[in-house]
Amino acid sequence: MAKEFLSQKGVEYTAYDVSKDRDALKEMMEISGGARSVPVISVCNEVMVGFDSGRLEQSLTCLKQSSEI
Amino acid sequence: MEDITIYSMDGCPFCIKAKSFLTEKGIEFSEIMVHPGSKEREEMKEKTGTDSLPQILIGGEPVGGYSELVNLYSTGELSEKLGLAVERPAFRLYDVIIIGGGPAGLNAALYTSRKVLKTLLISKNIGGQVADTYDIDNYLGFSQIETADLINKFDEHVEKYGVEKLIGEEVTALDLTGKIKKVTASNGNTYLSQTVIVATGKRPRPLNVPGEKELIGRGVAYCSTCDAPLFAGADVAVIGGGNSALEAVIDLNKVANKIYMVLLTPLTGDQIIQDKVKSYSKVKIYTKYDTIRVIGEQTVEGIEIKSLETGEVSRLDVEGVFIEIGLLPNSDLFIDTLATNRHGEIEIDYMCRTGVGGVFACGDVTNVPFKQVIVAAGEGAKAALAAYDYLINQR
Repeated sequence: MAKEFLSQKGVEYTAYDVSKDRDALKEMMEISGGARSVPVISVCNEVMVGFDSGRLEQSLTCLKQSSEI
Repeated sequence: MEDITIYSMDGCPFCIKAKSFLTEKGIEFSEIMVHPGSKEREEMKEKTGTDSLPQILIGGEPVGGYSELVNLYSTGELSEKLGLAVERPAFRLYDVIIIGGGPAGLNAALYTSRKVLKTLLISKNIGGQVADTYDIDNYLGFSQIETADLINKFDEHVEKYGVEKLIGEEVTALDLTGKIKKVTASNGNTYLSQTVIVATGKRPRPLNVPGEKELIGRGVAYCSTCDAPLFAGADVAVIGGGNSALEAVIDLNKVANKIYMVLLTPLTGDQIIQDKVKSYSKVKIYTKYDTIRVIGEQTVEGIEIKSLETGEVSRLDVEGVFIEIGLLPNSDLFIDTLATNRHGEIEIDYMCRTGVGGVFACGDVTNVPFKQVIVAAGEGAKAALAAYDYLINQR
């Protein structure tokens, strides 16, 4: 759902399959303060656990700002 | 501008509701108290032909009680009668609001939209509990299908009829008693409808032990299909001994290092699955043990279990705890207004009626036995057709 949402918004992203990539799992747990559930989404400096379309949309504004500069 | 008069009495709940409704909308009114036997009470009976409270008069013309008032407001008639600028009514009036987006809710939406009923579906997600399983082998017409595909098919089918959907929102408050039902969602909006179909399903039952709530998503999990892959190479515990606990062990056996099963009673799941699990070398079963605590700061580090026989407490070092001890119906919002059985399931009759006019229920949240996707879907269709029947008879 999160991936679909990002594609719809035309946002490029990198996806890590944490079920197969142990290092990515470790990194995910570190940046999220211990989350062992998916998805964990990192946008700019914000880390979100779970998919909340409203919050994600808001956090995407930082991408727009940085690309305008 | 016409005057509004309310005949009311102390301690009459719908009098209070009617008055606060008008106050909320900034509409002035005068109030006449009508105690039993008073001359005002006689006057009210004479003018309205009824003795029930409250009675509301607009410009001397009786319009009924509280639900009629809300009804008038939602259609815009109240503003018209009062000579106020007829703003677009603040709320749309739906024919049906469906709460829940699992198989029951989606099939109900399909049927109501095909009956051209103005439908709003409110749900946290699409798919409900089905989204927590990996594949389905027993849905007629699909000998084996991944649940994500099945849910997409359901959703596309409903989409075809243009059902209005509010996804990602939860219902936070309800008023189901009047003719016009009020449903408030977590976005703060209140939606009005003539009927409501409750299809809220079930959720995993929590253990209710210290540490559990704090570590949800940090090692505490309720859905092995979703989360088992995140525990590759880890030691994990599964709490429970029924079919869902056994299925969790089967999911975890593919990835985990060591699996502890902790259960209060001997295994209760199907023999065929029990045998499979007992054959796994990774699995250690603790029978007659109670799980009393989940240990961990940021993530799960272990659990404490207590022998029911000796009372001895021991610790198992695990990174994950899968709690599989059954399901609870999502009926908390309705227990004050709808009849429920001792499991908390909403009691319905053969037409999915709840006993409150215009309110129907279907799927796993109800007392209908056999919690199956196809049963829930069928019940959703029944609830939709029963709602249609109800609406026809109201006109």
